[in-house]
Parts: sequence; C-alpha cells; structure tokens
Amino acid sequence: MNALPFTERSNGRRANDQALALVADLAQSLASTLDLDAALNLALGRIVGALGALGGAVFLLDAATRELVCRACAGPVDIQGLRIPADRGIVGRALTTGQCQIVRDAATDPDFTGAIDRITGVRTQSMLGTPLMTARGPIGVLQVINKCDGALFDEADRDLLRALAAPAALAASNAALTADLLEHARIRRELQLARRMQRSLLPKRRRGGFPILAVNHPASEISGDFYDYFDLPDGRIGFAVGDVAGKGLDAAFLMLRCASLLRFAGKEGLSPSVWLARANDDLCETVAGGTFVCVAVGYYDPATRTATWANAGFPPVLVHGPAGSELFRAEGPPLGIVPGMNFPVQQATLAGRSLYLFSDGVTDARDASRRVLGVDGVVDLVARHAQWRPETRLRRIVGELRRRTLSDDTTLLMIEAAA
Amino acid sequence: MTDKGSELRRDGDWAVLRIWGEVDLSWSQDVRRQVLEAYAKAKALAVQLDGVSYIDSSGIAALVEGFQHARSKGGRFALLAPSEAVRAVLELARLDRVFPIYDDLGAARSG
Repeated sequence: MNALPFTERSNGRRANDQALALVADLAQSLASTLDLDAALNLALGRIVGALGALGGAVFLLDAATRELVCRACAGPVDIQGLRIPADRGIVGRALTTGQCQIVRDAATDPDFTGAIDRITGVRTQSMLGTPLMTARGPIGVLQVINKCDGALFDEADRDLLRALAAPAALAASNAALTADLLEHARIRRELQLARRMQRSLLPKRRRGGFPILAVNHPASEISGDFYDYFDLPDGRIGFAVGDVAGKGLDAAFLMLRCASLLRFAGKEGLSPSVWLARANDDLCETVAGGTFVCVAVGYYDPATRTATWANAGFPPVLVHGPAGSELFRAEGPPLGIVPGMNFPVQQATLAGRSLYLFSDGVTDARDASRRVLGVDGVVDLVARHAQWRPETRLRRIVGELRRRTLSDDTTLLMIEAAA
Repeated sequence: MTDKGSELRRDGDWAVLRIWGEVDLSWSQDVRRQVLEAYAKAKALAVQLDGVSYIDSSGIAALVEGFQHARSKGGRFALLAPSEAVRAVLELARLDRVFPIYDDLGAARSG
C-alpha cells in the first residue's frame, strides 16, 4: 500500500501516517467482516471524516435491474436503499467509465441530475466519486460530497479515496461471492432432499425368494425414472417401470405424480391395458407440452409363473432363458401425448426364464468410442451373466453398465420365479 | 463430434425444418425452440430427419411438443424421411402410432 501516490503528495509526514493508518485499519476491518452493510457504514463514516466531507455513500450495482443501490451512507440524510439508474448522473459516470470523478461545481456538470439532492435536500457543490473495481469489472461507486470547510476536493483527496475504495470493493465482492455460494449450497441441499424423497418412494428390496429385483441409478441428483411393485390380495404382484422424458425437478415431480397414479390404478387389479389407458387419459389432461412418460406395467402371478403386462413406449421387454431370448416390443405409444390410445396386453410364462425391463438409459449407455449399447447389446449383456443367481447377476450387469458412460437415468427391473 | 445443424425453408403453405447430426440433451432445447418458432411462420410444419444420426428422449420431446402444438392450434405437423436411426427409436417407442410420418413433403401434403 505504501507505493500508492497519496503518500508522496500529502502535506507532510503526519498526514501521511494518518492516511496510511486509516487505509490499514479499513482494509483489515473490511477483509474480516461477516456483515458487509455494517462494515461499509463504519468504513464510510471514517472516510467522510478523513476527507472532511459533509456526506458520502456507497452504491453497489444490482446487475439484474441495472441500478445502483445505496448500501451505506454517512451524512445528514439517510439514503440507504435508494436506487438510481446505473448509467445516469456523475455516480453512473464513475461506474461506466471506471474512472475516479472529481467535480468541483456539480451544477455545471452536464451529467449532474440532482436526483439525490431532491431526496436529501442537501445541495451538492463538489463531489468525488470512485468506482469499486474488481476482477469482474466495476461493482459499485464510493462517493463523498461537499467539503465541510467549503474547499474543493483535490488530487490528494482523490488518491486517498481510491486507496480506500480498493478494500471496500474486495469486501463487497467477497460478500457477493459468499452469497452465491450459500445459494448454491441451499439449492444443492434441496435437490438432495428431493432425491431422498424420491428414493423413499421406491419399494424396499424384499428378501426370502421374492421374485422381483430392481435398481435405479439417476444421471443427476434427481431422477425421471421410477419402478414400483406391490402385492395384490389374490397373490399376484403388480409392477411398474417408467421413464419421464426430461431431467431435473420438472421430470422428478411428474415422475412422483405418475408413479402414484400408476400404483393406485394397479392396486385395483385392472387389466394392464385399462390400467395404462386410464393413466394416459389422466396425464394427457394434466401434463405440459412436450412431456411424456414411457412405462410398462403388469402383474406377475407366482401360482402360474406368468407375467402379463402392457407397454407404453418403454423399451422392449426381454425374456431370457436356457432356450434363448425373446423380445416383446411396445405396442402402445408413451403416455401423455394423445388421449384415447389402446395398449394391448402381452404375456410370457417364466418357468425357468427371467423377465427384464430396462429404461432407455441402459440402451443409451455408451462405450469409449461413443457407441450406444442398444437393445441387442442388452440382450447380449443379460445372456453373458445369466448363470449367476439373481442378486449377483443384477449387480454384475449394473457393474458393467457403470463402466460405460451413462448420460441418462438407468433403471432395471427383473422378475424371476423362485427356484 | 458429428456435425449438426438446422435449416428452415418455406414450401408453399408449409415450413420445412431440416435438422441433421446428433439430437441429444445438449442441443434439443434449441431444436425445440426452432420447432415452436417455425409455427410463427406457417400453420403446417414438417421436420425433415434424413440427416439425424442419433436422437434421445429429449430430442423426441421437442418433436412431441411440435406435434401437440399443431393439435391444439389446429395446424399440421409431420415428420419427413426419418433416418434409420430415428425410425428405429420411433418404432421402438411406438411413436409411429402418434406422428404422421411421410417420405417427402408431397406425401405429407396429400396425407
């Protein structure tokens, strides 16, 4: 700091030492502040005192409205909170030019608007204003008006003000960055909460030979994929797997809505085709344009080892056994696009075979040369791990998928009759 | 990376938006905007997909939105000459039951 020009121009060693002490004091208090407004007000009071000014103010730029907002003031009238256009007046000129402004007679300055004078009732005669500069450009203006003894601001005053503006700019910039960080942390916490909420709605893994196993691996914090399974009083087990187009909060909310809609309809034991038709008509009435949901829903009957389902735009259902693989392609379009669609029922007997439902995040998994896995790749992947018992098999399949690049939510549900 | 791009042309009453390249999440919002903006110029929109090498669900969502826009505003929407890759995605999700798909604009006009 002692290289700054004001030390050379001040009128003697004593004034020099006082100015240097003030800069050091303010730099220290501004650097360590947690309360920006309080620190700026305190600093401004001392700056106004040191320059023998009648009053002063710190304006910070509100980038959203392109206004300068008074965050600290010293003088006869409190103008804290006052907003002025960022491109007008002498204060605005200091901001847009990035240059310190010395005005000896405000009334003759072409940019002088008198806007602040009309509010405070104080007539501005002379003025000194310096931009608060940061690496990201000017973020505000530090301004003092009218020397108490009627003298004019001079170059020594200007240099002192510039020296004091530097720590004020740093403190304001730090406070803005801290606020950004806190906001990011808050959003992150909320997304984590949404994720936990979503996870809590997925059914718990059931042991003891329960025929359904499923995994969901979200691409981001929250997922547009879901799966569900539940018991019916007649011994059948209902299941649903879905993929809401899109990512982020919108998709997550629609996913919650869709999952509960499908669960209620499924628990009534409706035929899978009625089940989907009803959900489709409901979603067509309520979802926003460009949003749709690919789902497969159905029942597994442990007594007959038969799975019955309907598929609305979801990837093909794979049934794999010792004799090979069988693919059942969707016969209905995704839900939420056109009402009145029909969704034909499909069926497979699982004696000695397993049924796999996988979202398009699985087929879209890319290898190192960006080639997608595709449906054939999934068939091959399942076949290569077929010798393992269900839990191990699913873990190995997911492990292999994770070695690829997964850009979308990845969900797998498998049904296998207890041995 | 594959080149991608789009081009809007006017052909009689129809606007034809030709897009090419990979339509994934990094680009689909832009495609969506172009689809909706095309309706400001014409009541009938055809999206030509012969040069699309890959499309993900966000790209399909942009097309669905164009389709729904036409339905609600009484306009027309068609897909033209989808590439093998696009056709496979449309057929797998049975979106061929939703979208009017034609080989060329002439067929879409009389469709």
